Amino acid sequence: MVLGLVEGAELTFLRRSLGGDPLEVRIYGAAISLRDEQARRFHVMPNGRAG
Amino acid sequence: MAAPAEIAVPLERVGVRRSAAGTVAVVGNPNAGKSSVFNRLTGLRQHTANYPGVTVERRIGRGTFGGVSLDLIDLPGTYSLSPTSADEQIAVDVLFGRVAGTPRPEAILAVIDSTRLYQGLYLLQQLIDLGRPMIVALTMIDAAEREGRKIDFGGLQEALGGVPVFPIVATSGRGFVALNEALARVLTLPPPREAVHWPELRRAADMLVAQWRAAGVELHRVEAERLLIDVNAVPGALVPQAAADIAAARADLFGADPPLAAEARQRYAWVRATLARVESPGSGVVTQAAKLVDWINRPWPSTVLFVALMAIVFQAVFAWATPVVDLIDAGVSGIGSMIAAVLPDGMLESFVVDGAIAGVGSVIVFLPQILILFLFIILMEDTGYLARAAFLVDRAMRTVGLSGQSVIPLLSSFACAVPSIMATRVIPNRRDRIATILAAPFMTCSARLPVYALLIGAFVPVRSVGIFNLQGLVLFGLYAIGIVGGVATAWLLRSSMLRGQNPTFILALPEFRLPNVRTVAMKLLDRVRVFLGRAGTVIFAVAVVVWALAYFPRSPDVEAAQGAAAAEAAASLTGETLEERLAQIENQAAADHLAQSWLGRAGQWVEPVFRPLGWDWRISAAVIAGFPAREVVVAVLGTIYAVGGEADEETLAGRLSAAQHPDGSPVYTLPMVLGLLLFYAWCLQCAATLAVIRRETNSWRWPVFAWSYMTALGYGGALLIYQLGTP
Repeated sequence: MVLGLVEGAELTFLRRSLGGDPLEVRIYGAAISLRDEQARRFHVMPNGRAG
Repeated sequence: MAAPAEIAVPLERVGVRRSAAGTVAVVGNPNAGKSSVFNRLTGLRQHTANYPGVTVERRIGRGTFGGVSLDLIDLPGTYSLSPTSADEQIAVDVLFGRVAGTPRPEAILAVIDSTRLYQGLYLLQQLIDLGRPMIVALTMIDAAEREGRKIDFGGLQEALGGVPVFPIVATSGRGFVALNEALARVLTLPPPREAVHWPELRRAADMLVAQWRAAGVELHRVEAERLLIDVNAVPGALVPQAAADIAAARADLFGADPPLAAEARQRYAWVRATLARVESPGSGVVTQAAKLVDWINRPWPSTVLFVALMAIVFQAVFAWATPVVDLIDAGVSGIGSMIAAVLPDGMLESFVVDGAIAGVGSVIVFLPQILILFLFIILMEDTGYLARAAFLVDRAMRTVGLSGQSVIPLLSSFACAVPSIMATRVIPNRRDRIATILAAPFMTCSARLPVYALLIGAFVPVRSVGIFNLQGLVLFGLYAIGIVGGVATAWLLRSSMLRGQNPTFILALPEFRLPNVRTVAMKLLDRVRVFLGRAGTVIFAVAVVVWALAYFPRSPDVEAAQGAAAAEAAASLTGETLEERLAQIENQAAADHLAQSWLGRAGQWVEPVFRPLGWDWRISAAVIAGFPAREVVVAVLGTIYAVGGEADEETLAGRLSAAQHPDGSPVYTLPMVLGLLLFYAWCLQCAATLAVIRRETNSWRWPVFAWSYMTALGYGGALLIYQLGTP
């Protein structure tokens, strides 16, 4: 949360790691790694913008 | 004419001895380039120690800015004032002036990565609330420019309540002239304009401050806010009704919401709004370099890169270091024999040559490998690769109960467990970290190799097994059994004593960047100092103690027998034959001395304990001598079997295979040797490792546990093999 995964933040999905977990997402230019079990707790809506 | 020269010393140099005008905390996110900024501002005038009671490094440096001398404290990186690790706790405690022996900083230098403003602004908002004079250094501005980000510095300064903002590049020194000028004035800067970002929290905090003031406890407003939000916050002092006050205010503020989530929502709303005003994000033009990095970060290229990098590290540690190690070995024994030639035979000679010089030698002989290993670990940290490696293997490591961040420390321990245990500091979760520390000593380190080489070379037959050689297979098996032991230990610990999940494992993945030579050099120096200070002194002390145990008490009988034998030989033999015979007599005397020394007696005392493993008193004595440092075993065996401490492996191996139990049966049977090898693979025979575990876990509990557990495991394994294998 202190890294900014909060309601209203825009993020870009980049890739999955070896074995499909964890995920790498970019949030306002900063890449962070997120385990599957944590990623499941978030609601993500597509906003149609690329990058 | 010396006097005028002394007067000409520039004032800045004299400044070192003056007391500083004030203390400035250097605060920032992890990987924001804080240490590079700190090093550039303070140069070599810094001082490293640990904070009292914890293993967090405290770095203080003196800098002179336009004639003003300031003490800079390089605080551990943190994303917020809500600590989630020991490092972050220290950063917060120092800011609030709660650490004994460290002054409360009068001003703040915030170091923010300009390509990660999103997370930087979050910390900045919290820092502003502290109401102290502050300066912001925006690092890596060149990288931001390359990405096409445009930052409105004036707008940012405005958003931060007037805190001056300086774009810099720590590696090249760009922007430091302005930063230095600003630091000269930092103590007299007005504090940031007060802004209320979250009125409800502010009201509750002010209320708490007022209530506690009435009870006689002074509390800073931000400290009160932290108490309200952070479930684990520890204030400097408490009033009796503290818990009730806090619970009441919390229920009012957050209801059933987790306070931290509420705070992140609140503050990041401001961060997003600010970001939208002051930064126009990248132009969308993707550079060739960025494309390449993006491709490398894909799972398969990333795996290939990881394997290749590890291969290079191993190659460097084992192959490139070898010539230097051999040189040191030769140098140490050369100096030893030179001194032996000068000193008269006797205790002093033995102490200097076999005790002191051999002891120093056994410390510096590790240095080439350790230096190379430290260098690679630091480079991986500094380039941001460490986080990438952790990301890559996180899944695999989790199946054994560890996390991705354990992988580099564990791989490093194939060279030496000491730097590897020091490298576990990057693991934020304490349970993961301890499990990694306890798994590390299982990996086959370079000190185990001479023992393996000797025993395998002597007793495992050279036989083809398919396309493999049995000797090679046994060595491979020993590596494998070390890994199995370590991984199983980590898994067992994580599902028993260290059970528990890390609910917020979210890892920042920094961009790759070139390392800063100065920062790397300073870190390397720091770690080598820790190695020499902690491990080196232990290794040296141990060498001297083992020497004394093997030397005392001296037996006049043995000396008389040696004298008689030598006289007899001199009377009947001449030339080369005499020389040979004399050397033989000397080795026999050394063996006889050792047999009745404290060490030899200890071997005889404990022989019954090791009897079920098929060991005689000689092996028992060598194993005892090896407990503080396993690499001395080969030398002790050499002396015990009367072939001299520096005998080559072939001679020693020949002597070993001739060794018999009193009943005439051979001592070194294959089951016994395999058991002995397993014992070496699993036993924690290294006082330096124990000392470092003590330092890194800050308690005797873990070294004691690791030692007992691994010794029991090694004994049990050797017992099982010997008993099953011996008809």
